[in-house]
Amino acid sequence: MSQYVFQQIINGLALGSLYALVAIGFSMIYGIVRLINFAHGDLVMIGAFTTLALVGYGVPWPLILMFVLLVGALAGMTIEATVFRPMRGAQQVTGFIATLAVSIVIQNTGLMILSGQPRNFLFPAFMRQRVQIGTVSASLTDLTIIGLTVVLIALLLVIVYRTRLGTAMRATADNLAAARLMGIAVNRTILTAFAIGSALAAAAGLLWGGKFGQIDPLLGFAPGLKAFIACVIGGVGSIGGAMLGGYLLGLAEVLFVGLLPPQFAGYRDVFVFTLLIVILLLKPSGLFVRHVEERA
Amino acid sequence: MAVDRGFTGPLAGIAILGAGAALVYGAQMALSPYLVTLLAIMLINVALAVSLNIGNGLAGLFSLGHPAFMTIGAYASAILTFPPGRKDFMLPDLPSFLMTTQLPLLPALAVAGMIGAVVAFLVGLPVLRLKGHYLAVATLGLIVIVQGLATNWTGLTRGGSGLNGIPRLTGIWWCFGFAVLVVYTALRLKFSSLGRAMMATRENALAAESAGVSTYRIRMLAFVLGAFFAAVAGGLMVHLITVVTPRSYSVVLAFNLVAMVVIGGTGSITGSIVAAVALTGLSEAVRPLEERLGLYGLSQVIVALGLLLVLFFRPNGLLGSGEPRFVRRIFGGSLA
Amino acid sequence: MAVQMLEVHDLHVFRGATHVLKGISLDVREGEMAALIGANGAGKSTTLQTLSGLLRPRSGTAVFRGTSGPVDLTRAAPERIVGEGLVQSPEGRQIFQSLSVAENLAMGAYLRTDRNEVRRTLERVHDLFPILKERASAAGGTLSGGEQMMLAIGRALLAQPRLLLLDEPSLGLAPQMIERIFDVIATLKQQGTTILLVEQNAAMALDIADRAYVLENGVITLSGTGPELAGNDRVRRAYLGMAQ
Repeated sequence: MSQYVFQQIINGLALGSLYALVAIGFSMIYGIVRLINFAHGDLVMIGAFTTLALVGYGVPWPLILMFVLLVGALAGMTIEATVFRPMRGAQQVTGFIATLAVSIVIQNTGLMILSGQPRNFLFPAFMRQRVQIGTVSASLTDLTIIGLTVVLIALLLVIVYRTRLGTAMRATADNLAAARLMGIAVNRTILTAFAIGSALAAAAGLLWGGKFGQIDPLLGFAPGLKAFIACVIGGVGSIGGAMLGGYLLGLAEVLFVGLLPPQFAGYRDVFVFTLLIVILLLKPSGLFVRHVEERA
Repeated sequence: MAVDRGFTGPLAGIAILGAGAALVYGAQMALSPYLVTLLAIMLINVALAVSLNIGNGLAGLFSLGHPAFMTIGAYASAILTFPPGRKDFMLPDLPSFLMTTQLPLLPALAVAGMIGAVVAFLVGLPVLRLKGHYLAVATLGLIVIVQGLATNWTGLTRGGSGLNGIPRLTGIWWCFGFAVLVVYTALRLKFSSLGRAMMATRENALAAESAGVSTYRIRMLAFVLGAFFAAVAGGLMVHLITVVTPRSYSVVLAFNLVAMVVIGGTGSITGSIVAAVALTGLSEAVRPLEERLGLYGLSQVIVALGLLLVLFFRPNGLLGSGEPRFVRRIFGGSLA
Repeated sequence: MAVQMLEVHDLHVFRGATHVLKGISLDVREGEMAALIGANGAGKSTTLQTLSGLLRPRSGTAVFRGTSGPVDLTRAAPERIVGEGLVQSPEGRQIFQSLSVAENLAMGAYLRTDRNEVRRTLERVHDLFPILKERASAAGGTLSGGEQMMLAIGRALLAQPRLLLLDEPSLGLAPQMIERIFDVIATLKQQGTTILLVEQNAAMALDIADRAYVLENGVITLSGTGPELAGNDRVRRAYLGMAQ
């Protein structure tokens, strides 16, 4: 394999990892409360700035990761408990507008506190070196992103599929009324879904900064929308679908830029959103989901 | 029917129009140019909110796409009104027929509106099959697509740096006239049989279909009409501000317009007018505070929190989907 | 003198602006099977949803004698009500389609902490419905209608009900399957479970119930023992489809 192709694949997998981390939480939240949470991407921003602040205090990286997961979980739970829970049962579009409002509040509060000036964000120097694998090489940052994402996803799958709380969460997503009749405190399982999903998004924020080198208060917009697209690719509401959708989207974006002549590189987002509309029309339940859910 | 409806009908409409015109005239005489421009922007926002309400309120299709059509209209009308000499300098790669044309404002706006409408039709063909928040996100995607095209199609748009030095051809009277046109159209539509069909599709698409109303065509009509007005508004705006970049009209604007529609009451034209005036005024009033404290973003936070409060405590907005009595009397005829 | 398991008095429930239950009163005694029969839309499911705490009444009382004492069903959270032993198998089965049969059953025992006790209940459910053991790892949604009904009842049993609410267990099932389900219900009763059965299929319900109530337009119009009601002319005409 040539270095160029290998580099593209690693790059796509790293980007896809970030999308997958955000998309999984997005999908979990949609699955359990049928809400397109536009504010989900802003947790990426919160995670990134939390990381930046902790790096400034010289906190060791493993602790930073723990802390970022915690901050993300708390932020997600706060949003759910204060804004979304009181609106439960409202029309879908009303809920969507509310998430948009929450996103605007988070972004602009970020602007007020942090200013719009982008900040440099760097992983430690050793992370930025390249690793030689046979005849090809890859950046340690990309490999870390890919590896850490696999670990986080594995952890998530264990929680969701192997614990009582995870089963209760899936039961709530499956049939909320029946879950209540079984004695499941659904507000708690919903809160758990927000906590886990938001923690993953915040972790993506930690990695996002490392990959792109700069962060600003508005950076959550792109990952939020891309997560939605990843979910649409994989089937909204399905964790596995969101994961696959994230990786596919990351790879597709990188290949789009890498394989076409350079003057088309700027059309990356045009390509991605056209892809979104095409998939919504042709395969509205996602590429990997068999059952059909009405998109209303 | 020979019912005495008092001071109503066309007469009352003309009276309101006259009062509005008098206000605009007075403002133009008494206020600083800065405040007059602000008033003009306020009127454009009224037109934007009301035109968004045609789709979102009357037909129940939740679109966030207005900024996309505004961007299209802004670039189109700017390119059409630029003097050829300036085009040589700014946009040397334009196709020759565009290079040599220079239109007056009105035809340029009409062409800009038509382009917006055609794009809306083409986009609507697939996208209007989607419902609810899927449509919302797809139209959000449309904003990103249009921004991407405006940034990268440099031959036509001069890329990320945008166009500047656009002739300042609009003023408050243009904006007033446009706002009146949009409000009049929206109200006439709302109280027509077509408007009732639109609202029927909003309430219950299935029942409307079985009563012979084609939901798809009705939604398309509302979407295209809204896009036409949005594109014209973009054209007016660009000839008032004299600058446009790919990021001039983005998601935040879409959010603010939706906030106006929801706060005023989805489906209520009067509500959109009131909310557009109030929110534009509020943002402007908070601006000195933002500048003095360095808290840029404060007005946006206030708008978003205000919207959340309305969603919590008055989810149907200030006016629900209705109109005040005097509006119903003017436009409702015997229906009022 | 039998102990009252459930006492409902003058319960008024609204759904939106609609006054669905207009002051119903009923009681269920320990160890008995009571039935609530009535036409579609009479308010049967609304009654059960209110008892399970999913709907809140406008006025009236509903008290359940739970494991730890009397429970005010008009105020208690659904999870508390289940924990106290009032468990419902809802209309239309409402099993978790995407969860496996074993997971569905585990969700029935969600609030129980004693693993050994739960295992014993699971064995009992497997004895009642061997198919649930065979298909333990299949997704709930892949079961047939009758199997899903068994799963719904089994899931409710895993919550160890003191009072089991069964909402339309015969709905949408083939006659043979209905017989099997009703056999099981009779067995449960013999084993000492107190049951409130809600049915449109009045003949089957009156056949096995000790006492029954007739609900019409949100009002209880008749009550009595099963045989009494089965012999009542109005009931025979309106619910049992018999001529004079």
